[in-house]
Amino acid sequence: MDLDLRLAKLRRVSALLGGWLIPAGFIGLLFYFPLGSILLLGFSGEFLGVLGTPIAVAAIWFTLWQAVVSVALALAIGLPLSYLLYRRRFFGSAFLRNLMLVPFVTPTIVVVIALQPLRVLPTWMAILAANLFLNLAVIVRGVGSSWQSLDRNLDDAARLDGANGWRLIRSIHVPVLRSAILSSASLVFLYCATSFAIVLSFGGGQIQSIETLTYYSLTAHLDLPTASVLALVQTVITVVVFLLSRRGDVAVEDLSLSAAPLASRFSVFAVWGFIAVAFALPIGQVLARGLNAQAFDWLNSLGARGLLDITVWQALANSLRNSLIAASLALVVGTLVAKLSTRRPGLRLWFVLPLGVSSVMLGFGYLVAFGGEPLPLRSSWMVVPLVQSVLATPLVVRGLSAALDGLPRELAESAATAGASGWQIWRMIELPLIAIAFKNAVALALLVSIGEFGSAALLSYGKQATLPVVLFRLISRPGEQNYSMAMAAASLMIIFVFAVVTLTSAGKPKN
Amino acid sequence: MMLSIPKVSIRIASLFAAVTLTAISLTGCSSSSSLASQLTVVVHDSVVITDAQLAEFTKQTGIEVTLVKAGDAGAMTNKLVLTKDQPIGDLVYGIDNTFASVATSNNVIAGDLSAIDYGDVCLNYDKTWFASHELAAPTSLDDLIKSDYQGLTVVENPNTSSTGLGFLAASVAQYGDAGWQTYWRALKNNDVKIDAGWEDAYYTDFSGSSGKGNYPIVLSYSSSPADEVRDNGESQTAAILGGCYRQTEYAGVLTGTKNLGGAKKFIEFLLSDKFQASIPGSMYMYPVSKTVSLPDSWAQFAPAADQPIGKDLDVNANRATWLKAWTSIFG
Repeated sequence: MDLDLRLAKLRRVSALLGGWLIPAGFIGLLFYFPLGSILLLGFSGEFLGVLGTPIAVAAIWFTLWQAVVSVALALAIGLPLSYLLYRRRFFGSAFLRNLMLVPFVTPTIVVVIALQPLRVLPTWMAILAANLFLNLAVIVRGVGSSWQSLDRNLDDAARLDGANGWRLIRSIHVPVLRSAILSSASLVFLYCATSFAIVLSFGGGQIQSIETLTYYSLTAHLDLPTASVLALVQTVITVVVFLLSRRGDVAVEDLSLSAAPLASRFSVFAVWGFIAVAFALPIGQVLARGLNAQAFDWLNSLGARGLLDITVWQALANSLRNSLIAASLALVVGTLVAKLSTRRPGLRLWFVLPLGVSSVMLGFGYLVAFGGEPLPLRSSWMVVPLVQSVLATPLVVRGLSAALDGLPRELAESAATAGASGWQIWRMIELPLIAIAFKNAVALALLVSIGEFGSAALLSYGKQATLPVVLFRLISRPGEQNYSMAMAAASLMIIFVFAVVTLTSAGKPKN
Repeated sequence: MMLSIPKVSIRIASLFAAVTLTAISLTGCSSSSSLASQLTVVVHDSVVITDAQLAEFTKQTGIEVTLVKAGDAGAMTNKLVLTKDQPIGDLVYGIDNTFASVATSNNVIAGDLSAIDYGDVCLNYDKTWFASHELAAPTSLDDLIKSDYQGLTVVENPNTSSTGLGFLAASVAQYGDAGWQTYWRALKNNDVKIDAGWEDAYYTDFSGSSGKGNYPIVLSYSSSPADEVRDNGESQTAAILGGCYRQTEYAGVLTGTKNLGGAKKFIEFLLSDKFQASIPGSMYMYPVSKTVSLPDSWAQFAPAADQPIGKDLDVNANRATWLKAWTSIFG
């Protein structure tokens, strides 16, 4: 009896270990090993002295304050928007929800082009506005999907007690939504704290963040100690944010829904007006420049005087292939982590860290770590999708964990008692229940890989260049043809992103 | 007693293993570059060598070439330094004079560097804008600090742009160690705009490009006007050929190559008239060879500078000092 019990326990433990083997091996080999290799090169006597240099202090300070202010602004604007877009019903609300997501998953090079009008603002204001443009959707969607499924009977009951309007929201909704707010706010913080192209372009190189300083320490000065210290600081920030947001990682799955009440006419105008000016206008500007017959004709060329190695279409094919591979890997690993960690959410931290590490740093890590035998990865085209899968994994882990944690545990347990295997439980019970979160995770993983630039620019071969890399090459050379092709490529990307977002958010969840 | 692992993990494990194995097997072939018939050439982002050109080289020599693009010139050079124990190729093409000493002092290069092409960092202006505003176009670096040209100039940040660094070097050459900071303070007082990269300055802020920005003077290259020729057959822009800084791009054999002979043959190929003649086309640079002629539009609109300045400066040795001083003016 005693022996049986111990054997059963041993079996459980080994099953758990066996399951962890894949994700741990994946993240260990493809993230911690290359990152560790480059960090080790940076260790030296002056290591900590770097933190005292004015330029490093300024970069850390700027990174933190702009991220905090961006989150505050995103909440101030995002929560009311979220309420109207997810809790009220009006013409075009689904379209607006999808449109808002476009900047978040569009390559930042395109975002920078779209936001050129912001450049008349003072630097810091332009950076904050660009952060909002990129990340508002994270708050709106993250909070909105929980808000949407909040039981309306609760509202009715509260109204009977005389609670209404703000009081209703404050006393009934906010406590329930707290976790969703915390979770999306922390994600926005991380994205703002690690943004690269926005700070660089709108800061004119005169304002440095941790991320941009890391990049220039590596590429212009080969200053490994500085780059390594900054990478560590960024890691610490990511860990702290993760720990703070952990309490928040519970989301309610959409189980909707009785029809939402109609929005008031004033709020409909306000939402349409805001999104038209803040989102449709900048996006439309890129489309206006890119969507013309001449530009698309040029897309079949290699740029003015043969600038490119491949056409934009071939680059698009490379990007699609890479993102399919990266998304599949990220989904496999992310799903395993989310499932295995329901009882040990702390372990997720190990898989979320790639969110906070400079992809250029990781790219250099690959160069150092995967140079020769036994894994000469750096000379293979697979290196780009592999890095991108590492970068997409945190998003899958976060999205699926939140949904899985929200499922009642008895379901899986009773199915297991009835003899269902782990695969059957996942396939027949859990997956259908978290279908929306899963679909969102698929879309995010695909789009993040499509838009990734930092590692692709550093690691991709001539013939393997991805769409963002080719786009950057085009706008790095003079001439109308190159510029028009860049705009057309940017337009293609925007349309593709919008299509993926619309397709994956269509359809109603099963009850 | 057998220990059972959940089926779900087994399925996923096999899928994962399949993908990983595919990845590894796909990479396997690349490690054979040590053979004398294989040559790996490391180049920066903007280097263009076409398939047809590579095929011709293979026909001449029997050597198959793999091109590895390795980021911009700075990123590429530093990559080479980081990976010198396991070099990523047999030779490098595209290291410029601002980074050359990083490579040589770190013993990345075996033997000498050979100059292949060059470009001149020069101010460009929008001819149409100056004509319609009835203002004489600027002709020198001195003009930029005159009040007539207040708020008209956009240049790249030397911290983040190699073009910007070239201009910083030009200012040091022109005004000397004692005067260059005064010049930049005057530029700042004259409302010069600083952008992070060439693409921001040229396409977003310069009025003479397709981006149609608000600044009629931009820091670019002497060759850029050849790409702004309008329907009337005239270029909308012109370069100020005084005070230009010349960026020369080199090729060199990488330390540790197992194909020294092939690498040397490739450098000869880069210096052949046929390849040299293709350089203005795809790379937007000038060939070092004096025997090949420039395309018509270049001869007409984009001649190189007669007397570039700053040739004797050791940019790499001074980079940190200059950038620190520059940043304290603009920080």
